[in-house]
Amino acid sequence: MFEARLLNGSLWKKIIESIKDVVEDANWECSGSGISLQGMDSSHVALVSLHLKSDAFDPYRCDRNISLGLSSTNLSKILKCSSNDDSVIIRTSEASDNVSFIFESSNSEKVSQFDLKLMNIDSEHLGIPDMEYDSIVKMPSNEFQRICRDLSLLGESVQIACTKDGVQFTSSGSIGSGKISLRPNITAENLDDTVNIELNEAVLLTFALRYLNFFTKATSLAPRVILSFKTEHPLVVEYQIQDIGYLKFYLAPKIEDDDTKQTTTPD
Amino acid sequence: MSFVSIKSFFKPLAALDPPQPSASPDKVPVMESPSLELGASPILSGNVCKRSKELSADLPLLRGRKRKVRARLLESDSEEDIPDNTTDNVVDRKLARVRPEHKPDSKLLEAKFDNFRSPDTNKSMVASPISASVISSPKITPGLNGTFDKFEENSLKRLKISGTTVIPVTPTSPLIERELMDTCEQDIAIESPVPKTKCNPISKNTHTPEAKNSSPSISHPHIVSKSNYYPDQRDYHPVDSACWETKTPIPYLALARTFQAVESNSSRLRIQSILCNYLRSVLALSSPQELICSVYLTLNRLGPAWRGEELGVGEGVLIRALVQATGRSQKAIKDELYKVGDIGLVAESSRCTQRMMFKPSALTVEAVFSKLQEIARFTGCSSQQKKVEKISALLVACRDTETRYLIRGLSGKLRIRLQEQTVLTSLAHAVCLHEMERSGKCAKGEELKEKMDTAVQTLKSVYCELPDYERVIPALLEQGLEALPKFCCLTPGIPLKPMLAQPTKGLSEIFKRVDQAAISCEYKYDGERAQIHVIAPGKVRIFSRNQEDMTDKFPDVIDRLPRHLGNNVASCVLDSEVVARDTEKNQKLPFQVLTTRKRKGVSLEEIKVQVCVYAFDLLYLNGESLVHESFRRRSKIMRNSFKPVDGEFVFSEQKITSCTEDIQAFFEGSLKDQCEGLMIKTLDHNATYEISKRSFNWLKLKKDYLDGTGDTLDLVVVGAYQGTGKRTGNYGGFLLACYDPDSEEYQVICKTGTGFSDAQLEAQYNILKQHVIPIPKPYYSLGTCPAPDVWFDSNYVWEVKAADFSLSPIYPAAAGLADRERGISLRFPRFIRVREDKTPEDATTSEQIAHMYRSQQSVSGIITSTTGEDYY
Repeated sequence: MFEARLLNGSLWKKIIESIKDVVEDANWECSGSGISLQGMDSSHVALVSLHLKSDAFDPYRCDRNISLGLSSTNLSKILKCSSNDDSVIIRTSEASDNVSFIFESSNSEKVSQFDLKLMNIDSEHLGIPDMEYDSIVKMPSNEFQRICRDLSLLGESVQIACTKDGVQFTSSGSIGSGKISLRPNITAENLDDTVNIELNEAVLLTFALRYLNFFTKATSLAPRVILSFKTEHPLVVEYQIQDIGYLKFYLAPKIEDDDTKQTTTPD
Repeated sequence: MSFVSIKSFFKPLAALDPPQPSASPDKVPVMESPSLELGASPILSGNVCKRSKELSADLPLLRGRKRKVRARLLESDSEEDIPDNTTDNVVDRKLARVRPEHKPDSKLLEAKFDNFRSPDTNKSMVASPISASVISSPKITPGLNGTFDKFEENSLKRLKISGTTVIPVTPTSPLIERELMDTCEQDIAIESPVPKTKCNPISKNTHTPEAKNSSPSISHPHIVSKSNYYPDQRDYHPVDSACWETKTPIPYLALARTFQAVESNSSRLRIQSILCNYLRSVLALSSPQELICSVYLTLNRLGPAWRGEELGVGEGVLIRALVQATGRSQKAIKDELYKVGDIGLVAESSRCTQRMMFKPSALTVEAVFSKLQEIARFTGCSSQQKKVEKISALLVACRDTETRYLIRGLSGKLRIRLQEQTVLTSLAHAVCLHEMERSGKCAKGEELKEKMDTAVQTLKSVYCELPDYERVIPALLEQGLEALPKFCCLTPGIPLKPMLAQPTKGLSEIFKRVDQAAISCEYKYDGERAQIHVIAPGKVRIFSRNQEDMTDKFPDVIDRLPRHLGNNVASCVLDSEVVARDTEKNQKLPFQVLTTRKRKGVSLEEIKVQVCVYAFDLLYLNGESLVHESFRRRSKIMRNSFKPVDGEFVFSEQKITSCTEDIQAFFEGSLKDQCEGLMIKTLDHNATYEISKRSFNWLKLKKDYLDGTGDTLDLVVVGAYQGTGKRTGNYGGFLLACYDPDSEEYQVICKTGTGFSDAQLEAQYNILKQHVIPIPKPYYSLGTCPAPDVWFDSNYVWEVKAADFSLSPIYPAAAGLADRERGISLRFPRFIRVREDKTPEDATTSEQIAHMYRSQQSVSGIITSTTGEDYY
């Protein structure tokens, strides 16, 4: 038996919308500690790691670890049937090949139940080691979204340079190029608006904007985004979901080659 | 699944291909750099020895540079107080590192590694712009680039650096190191990259081969041998030489290696034996299902033709998938495709510019086949995007040559010169050898050859009657070769290959061929071949010449069919031609009219083009296969078992004669009756419907094959299409135009791509490419024909022979002359020669073409009343 009720049902919607472009089918691992998900996109370039603590749910009951194979597209369809202030109960039993989503309106007047068939998805669970990053940038999540969106008008990839002076996003393509620099500011009035840079070593890495634009769909989940860089390593884009969990995206860097050079030189 | 370290997240998609190191240099970023004069390119291109040689070869150059540096330092007054040992040291150290030839390169690079890491060096370099110019160089490698910019920004404070300078020792970028490791690795045949312990302090990887394997899902001990599969080796042993074990899935790589071996051999016998070797291993180690998958992948098919499964993957989808999987830009891939012409090779040589989080597990034959079927099943909204996703998921899992064949397969052409007949032969050989091995018998020399030949004959004839591997292969494995014909025979509902006809040039040739045997002449109708299967009363299917299911196209035929069946016919297979007809005038209409019928979902009410079935052969009747019977008997049974109805279902016009005059008259009669000519069939001798013995038992006599009947025209070359496949690099097809002196226009009339020898094609390419113009001349009348890839100035006139003239909605030639709106085009135009004696203005005129069209129509008895008399 597994049951988890989340009062703020719209959170589910936001989470699914943020990951569904990256991970098509994934196993939702439910255990005593909470619900987590890990999955990669079909090209194995990006990885999503989500964890929601059991405290987030009330009640939360998980008799035995269970893995729910679900298609993100279908999940998104089902969750669109819920209203934003509904509470969402996820329920399944070990023997069942269905998982039920029960939406209860805030005044308990309307209850809707949708059953989704479970899928068999073979996926390997990857251990992601903790590591020390060369530089960690903490910034307003909407600012990051804006930067990725703006730069994707110009090119397919963004070069991110972190130095002690700030962080610089550069992109170029056939129509021209763009460069956005952010300086660390710790003095902003609102704590959420600050840009913090922890720098152990300067880094310069290139990433595909396509994926970053997928990731920034999670902007509504958290006011802040944490970008962790390490040379030759995947970028981590992390959104803290209140104090109940996190959503992390990993993105493998691009290797620049002749092609990108060609495209960066204007025709 | 535990994960070793994040290090193994990274694996370049396409590691350098060991067999063709020279083919990829321009794709290797490091090699591109003009500034890396020392050791850079060899690092990637060759093996260890080659590299060390090159390194040492560059030594004099280095020394020269060192002298120069010194000289410059001395000249510069302002720099005098700077200890010039900085640069000297750097250069000296470089020399020291380069010198020892015996050192393995990896160590060498490791030794270099500390160069930029040392903060002292950095600082001292900041102090000296000259030394900075020595070590830093613009854009060494993209990977390096990052490292460099970093240093420029942090330490060098963005010193202006001009020109390229020697930088023999670069801060060992992890990229270089990895590349190096890759090449080393290939020398010792280990897969997957060696983890970079040096630059990854947290790596927990050890340098054991198991740990190097980035894909945790495969940890078979024989992993190293996985990439070593040689189906073309001598003394091939189906079990020992295979790179997989019994009950484990066949790696797709084994099949890819087989394809590769097949592709690199031109002898058919050799190809047969290579494929046979692979199939023997499959027989010995794997399941029947895997054998079916292997055969389908080899034939690049998804299933039997009548199921009509199609991948529906165009070049656009493949390019998008490649973009997604490799991170290269679409433009770069297209440019390369234009040059190389084969998307498989482009994919194979595409180095990944996008790293991966994690290398997917190796592809298996079964998985690839089922993925292809999934791709074929995607339909409707956003199916293209889904296909791109699936393909790119397959692509990232590809290793080695797998990419080439996977992509080629997806693009529809495997292009390894593997015909179905060869596959059948190899399969028969493999089964034959496998059976002997299992029963412990052994045969040698003549006996073996005879056995194998019988096996081939049996399998081929069974396959011709029942072209469905999903039925033949399981039966073959369960019942054995000998008993196979008993279990697999002609079954209504499964289309068999049709008997084809060989073209002949004239009656004399026909008599030479049939040699006194009794013959039957039949009208050759200008329609569509249709194999009508009555599976049970009321259950009918119709198949095309290519075994495609056309049942939905002819509901009218099916509706009427019960009326034509004789009382005793419960099931049958009829061979026939479906011809469009004008019910009012009671005459046949040409093939083009038939093609205007809807292909799918035709309902009885909305049929505009009426058809008539001309039955000419019967292959199966009431549970009995007739393919082994003579044509005389089949024809007789057919004519006794069906009830013809005029204009709906009739037997083909037949004349049994051997008199030349009779045949000539019959031939002319056929033309008058809007037929294409005659089919000549022997009645008793060699007269069975056994395709496996002779697929061209029949002869055809068509009017355009007869000497002098086809019309030749002189047309102007105005455009060309880029060639693909064999014609890559040349033009593959040409756009031709006639001349209209009234409007002084060149009116496009047809495309042609036949009639050329390879040499002619190349010669034409070399001549015509000098006349390419960026946009068509304003006096080219183009209609709505597809634009060619290049346009030519009107310079050359070619003589072209065509079978027929037809009205065309897209070509503007002679528009308004024969038909109010439509122009005239040619059917089956083929190149004869270049008319050097003619100028473009001397080309065939529109008026002449209209005349030819009209005279053709009058021959066939169709009076085109719609021609605009009021027009002239």
